[in-house]
Parts: sequence; structure tokens; C-alpha cells
Amino acid sequence: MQALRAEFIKLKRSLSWTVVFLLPLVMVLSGAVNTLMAGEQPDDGWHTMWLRSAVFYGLFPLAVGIGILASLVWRSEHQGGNWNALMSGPTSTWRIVAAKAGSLSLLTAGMQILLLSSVAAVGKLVFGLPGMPPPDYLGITALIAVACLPVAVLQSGLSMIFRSFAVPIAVAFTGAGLAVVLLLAELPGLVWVFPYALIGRTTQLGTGTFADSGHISAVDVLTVLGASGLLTVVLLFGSVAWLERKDF
Amino acid sequence: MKASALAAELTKTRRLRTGLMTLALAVAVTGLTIASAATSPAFSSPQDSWSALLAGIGLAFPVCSPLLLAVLASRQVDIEHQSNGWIFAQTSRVTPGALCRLKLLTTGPGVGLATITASLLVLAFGLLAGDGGAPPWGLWVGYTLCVLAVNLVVLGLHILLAARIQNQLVGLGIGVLGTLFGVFASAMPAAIAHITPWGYYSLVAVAEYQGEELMLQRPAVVSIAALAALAALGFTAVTTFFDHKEA
Amino acid sequence: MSFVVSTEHLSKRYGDTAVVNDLNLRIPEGCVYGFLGPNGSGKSTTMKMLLSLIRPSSGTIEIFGEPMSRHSRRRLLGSIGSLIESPPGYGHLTGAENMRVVQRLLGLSDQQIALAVDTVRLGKQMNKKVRNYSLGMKQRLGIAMALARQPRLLILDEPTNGLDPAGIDEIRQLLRRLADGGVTVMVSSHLLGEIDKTANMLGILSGGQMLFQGSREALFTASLPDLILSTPDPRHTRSLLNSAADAHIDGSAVRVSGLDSTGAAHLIRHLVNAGDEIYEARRDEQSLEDVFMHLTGGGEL
Repeated sequence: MQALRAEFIKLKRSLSWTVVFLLPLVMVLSGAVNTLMAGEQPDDGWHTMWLRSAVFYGLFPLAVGIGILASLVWRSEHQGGNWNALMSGPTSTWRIVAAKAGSLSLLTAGMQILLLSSVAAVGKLVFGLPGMPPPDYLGITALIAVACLPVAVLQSGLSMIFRSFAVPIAVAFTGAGLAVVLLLAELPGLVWVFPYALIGRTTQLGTGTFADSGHISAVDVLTVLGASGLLTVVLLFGSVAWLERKDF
Repeated sequence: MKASALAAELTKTRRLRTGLMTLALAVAVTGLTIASAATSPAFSSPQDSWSALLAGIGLAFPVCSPLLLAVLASRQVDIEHQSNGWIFAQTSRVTPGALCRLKLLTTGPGVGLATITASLLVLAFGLLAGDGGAPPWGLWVGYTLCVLAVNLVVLGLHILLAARIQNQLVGLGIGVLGTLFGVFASAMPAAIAHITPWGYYSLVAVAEYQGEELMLQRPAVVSIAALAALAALGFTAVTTFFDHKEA
Repeated sequence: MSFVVSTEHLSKRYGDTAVVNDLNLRIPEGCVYGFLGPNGSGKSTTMKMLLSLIRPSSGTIEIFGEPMSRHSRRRLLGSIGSLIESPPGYGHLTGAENMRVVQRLLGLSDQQIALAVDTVRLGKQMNKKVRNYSLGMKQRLGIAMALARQPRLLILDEPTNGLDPAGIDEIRQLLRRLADGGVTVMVSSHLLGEIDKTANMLGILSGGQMLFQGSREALFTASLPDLILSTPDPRHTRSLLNSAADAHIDGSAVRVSGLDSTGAAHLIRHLVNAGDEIYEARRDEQSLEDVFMHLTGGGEL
């Protein structure tokens, strides 16, 4: 917990995460502008609002956004003598990796909450939709946040390995591209084990787009949770193992 | 601007993988265009075959370019931040503004080459795999030149951003936002597309789905020319401002 | 005497605070000019003004007898090598590639590059990436990049910063060699000891103002170190000196202030004639801090 708090102190002075936080907002707004321009109302209310905001967001901006946040979380460590200070400190490898991945996951979860809030705000203010988004979306938002964990751990690991900020983000971009291919090909197995495809698939839950059936079954939820948990653990162990074996 | 300074700038480009990234741009655009055309039913009907390819490439450029251009510009500029290069250049008679102009001169041709290569590869694919007869040469050349201009404008913008804001992640974040603008601008009214440079990716597009119909149109040449002129003026003004700013 | 650098009433103000105030620099040709002062005293700002990286708020600069301005800088900078703030050098390139950047930028010959690399003795490290250089190697590469154009004037901002004693000594010898070869060197430091022995001219800056400028000898005359006398019985020695002498007992020795060479000779002769035994007579080691104390009349740095 202490290590996590230290992470947020390091991030506090750096305002660049605001750029990433703009992503969900822009997604929702552009979805709304599209709908307005077509002279339509979201025919299916909150469902349409969500679908137009979340699906494209999950295909590529989300992965790249996590990639940028990961580079940001690791940036300060790659500068000056900070790396040596971190490695020679009393913090264990496990805790370094966990604190970075943890703070990154919290930022990522923040992005999802912002997405849902933007959908609610735009739905109410622009389209005057009745009531509030159904509570289902709160559940889906939580699921997306969980599905982001493997990507967060993976991107955090890449940003740890590479001093360059460009390489991890290029990987995220390529990963998201491959994910789109997998999702288009509707290969159910691979989609669940490829982290970038997992977030794409999760943002599609209940939308009926791509391979989604349009309604969420318990199996879907359990698959997302199981796959995320498993991938997160594997990737965490991988990152720790790399850092343990690396010479500086 | 002296040739020697340009040669020095080219020497710095070593190991930055600029070539690899421009190649990635060409490959990504070509791949995405062919993939989208191959999955579109329009491609197999003779009268729409070329239109399908033009629609595909019109989407592939805004999807692939903004982020890659941001990375390209940022890497070329960040080396100066990392190495006290601005001051060294100044004491070697190259002002900060001139350095930015040199960076546009060294990265620009690569981006131009990638843009034209992607266009030619898609054209070749259309000739080999499609059965739409003769390609619409005028539209093809017009689109390629216009999208080339937009790419160069976005590249120039990112060079200035990277030079001004030391934290390169800001530029990359803006690149991602730019991708969104680029992709969504086609669904927005033209007036909104005119506001940001990324919106122009939709203004240059020559084939668009209007509902289920594929419609061909001429690229918004006047808008692009205005953008290019404004960008050239802006780039010159900002780099001149850099020259007069104190170290 | 001809000056390579001379400034008249050079000042730089940011808002109401004067970072550099009314500076009249005089750097004679062929000397090593030690530019001393604590951190934040305006050394870097002055050097940046000399290079026309920033513009003076008022005052003028002449380099090689020509006014330095935004118009003449391009020509003048061709004969000035410099190292300001941290050393330059692109981390993703090797030393040799960095030198090639300099070569192309300034249109230099292979010989000029080879000579610069030889001068800093970096020949064996040229195929290594600069990212993997030690600080001392980076510092030397930076100097080689500054030297490649065979400058008449070399301006180095804290080149010994962060170096180990061997590295510092190497830079000192390098500066000496360059000065012997006719290059005028201006070198800044916040530690007197680091350039004390190399510099033959000194300028001391504090709070943006020049406290002292002149030769080493002149500096030590301006602020005479105490004479320290070791004798068997300091109390007795003190009693032998007349009351006019500014002397007091300091442990097992007598410390006499404000004596020049002649005065010291008189005093020692007087003590010997009076039958006192003198084990040792020496000048106190003076640190930059002590010199400052003298120059500022006990003020803070």
C-alpha cells in the first residue's frame, strides 16, 4: 500500500495523464456528434449510447491509452539515477512490479468510470434520455476494468524493459491491430487468451457487435474473470522473473 | 539552410528506426486497405471495385498515420532533449527553429515515400486482383497527393509539439486523439472536420458510403490547399518564434 | 594587452531580479580563465550571454575585438567551442557517429576530428554507444565536440562537475595543454580547488556581481592568508610580538593576520633575534570560502 501511495506521488506532478483521460470523453462525444449529425435519436436509448461509445474505444484507443499510461508510470524511473535508486532500494522486486501494475490498473479503472460517466452525462444532457443507464453497465464497466488488468501488467512490463516510450506504445498499437483481426475472424478461443483481444471482446459484451450475441450470460462473465485473472497472474510472474534475472 | 546541417541531421537518424517506422506505415495502410476491401462485397462487383479500394484506403490512412507520425516526430526530436542538443546546435550555428525545419526535411521525404508506396501497392493490388477495368487515375493521383499533404502537416505539427513539450507522451496522446478525430470526422459535418488537421483525412477521402451506396467525389482540394498554406505559414512562424526564444 | 573576451556593464535581469549585474569581464588571450562562484551566482547565465544563447538586458560583449550580437554570432561562433550545462552527445549513437554529426554540421576535415578525439584521449571508446559512457567519458566527448572546430576560445561550464579526482586531474591537464597550444580557455567552477592550479586568471562571481578579477597572485595578495607559527610556547611567542600585530593563539600555534611577505620576514627575524625557537612558519591553506570571506568582509557566499 505504501509503495502504491509512493507511485501516486510520482504521478501527481505529471499532468500528461489528462490527455489519456480525454480518450473516453472524446469517444462518447464523437459518438454523440455522429448520432446528432445523422439527425437521429439513439433509437434504443442507453443501449445505443453505450454501443456507439464503447465498441470502437475497446478496439484500439483503450489499448494505446493503457500503453501511454504505462510509459508514464515508468518514465520517471528511466530518468537520471532513479533506476539505480529503485533497484538498490529495500523494495522487493515483487512489490515494485505490483505497485507499478497496481497504480496503472487504478488509472485504467478510472478511464472506464469516466467512460460510463460520460455516457450518462451525454445521454442526459444531449439526448435527454430517461432515467439513468441501467445498472448492467456498471457491471460491464467493472468487467472492462478487470479485463484491462492483463494489458496493464503487460504494458507495465514492456515499459519497464524498454527505456524508449515509443516501443511499448507501438506494441500496444500492433497488439490492438491483431486483436481486431482476431475479433473479426470470430475465433472464440484465441480472443480470450490474447490480452488486447480480451479488452476488445469485453467492451462488446451485450452490444451484439462482432461475435457478441447481444445478451450477457454467466458463462461470458466467468470467462472474462477467469481469463483476466489467469493472464494477469502469468504476466505478473513473467515481469517479476525478468526483473529478478536482469543485470544492471 | 545549409546542406551540411542537413547531412548532420541525417547522421543522427541512425538507429532511430525511422526507416522501419515509415515502412510500417506503408505496410499497415496497404494491409488494412486490402483487408477491408477483401471483406467488402463491393470489391467483387466490377463497377464498385475501385471505389471499394478508395474507401478502404480513405479509412486506412487516418487509422494508421496519426500515431505513427507522432512516434516518428517524437523520436527525431526527443534526442535533442535527451542530449542537450538544442544548445549544442545553437553554438554550432543552428538555431532551434532551424533544427525543427531540418527535422521536417529529414523525416518528411520518408513519410512522403511511405504514402506514395502504400498508394502504389493498393493500386497494384486493384489491377491484379480486382476486375474493375481501368483505375480512376485522376481520383487516385488526387487522393494520394492530398493525403500526402495532410500527412506532412500532421508530421510538422508533431515536430513542433515534441520540441515544445518535453514529455513525449503528451504528443503521443494527442496522436491517439488525432486518430479518433481522423476516423470520426467522416461522420461529422465538413465544418467540424476543418477545425483540426486530422479532420482533413476525411476531407481528402474520395469514396464514401452513403448508407449502403458507395459514392465517389473529388477530394476537397481547396480545403487541402488552404490547410497546406496555413500550415506552411504556421510552421515558419512557430520556428521563427523558437529562434527568438531564449535558451 | 589584447582581450579575447571583454564585456562592459553586462547585466541580465529577469523581472526585478538581476541574475548578472554590471559585469566587466576581461579575458586576456592565451590564458586559462577560472570563473568561480557558488551555484546560482550567474556563471552559466554569463557564459550563455557570451555565446549569444541569451540576450543581455544591458551592456555589451566583445569577442575577438568584435561586438557579439545576433548578427555577428554566426561568424564568431565558428571560432568558439563550448560546453554548457550537461555535456552534449546523442545516446543512441556511438562516439564516432557523434563526431560525424559535428563534422558534417561544421564542415570539418577528418584530421580535425581525429585531432580533437586524440586531444581528449577517447580514441579507444569511439565505437561504443554514448548511452553506455561513464560521466567522465561523456564530459570528454563533449569537450572533443567543442574542440573539433579548432576554436580560438573555449568556454566550458563546470566541466569537472561530478568527476572523480583522476577525471578532474585529466581535465586540468587537458586545459593546460590547450592553453599552451594558444587556445584561450574560460572555465567555470564552484570549487576553487578544481581549477585553482590550472587557471592563471581568476574571476570570482557572487550574487551576479564580480567580487574579484585578476591573476592568482593578485587574488592571494588581495586576501592574505594568515601566517601560522609553530613554537614550543605559543604564549611566550605572543608576548614577544608587539601589541600592534594582529596575532592570537590558535591551539599550539600563533596565527598572525594581515602580513605581507616583507612583514612576515620582519616578524620572523624579530622572533629569532629575541631567542624564540620557530619549528615551522607557513601560510594557512585558503579555501574559496576563506577567500570569499576576505573579499566580502565576512559576508555569506
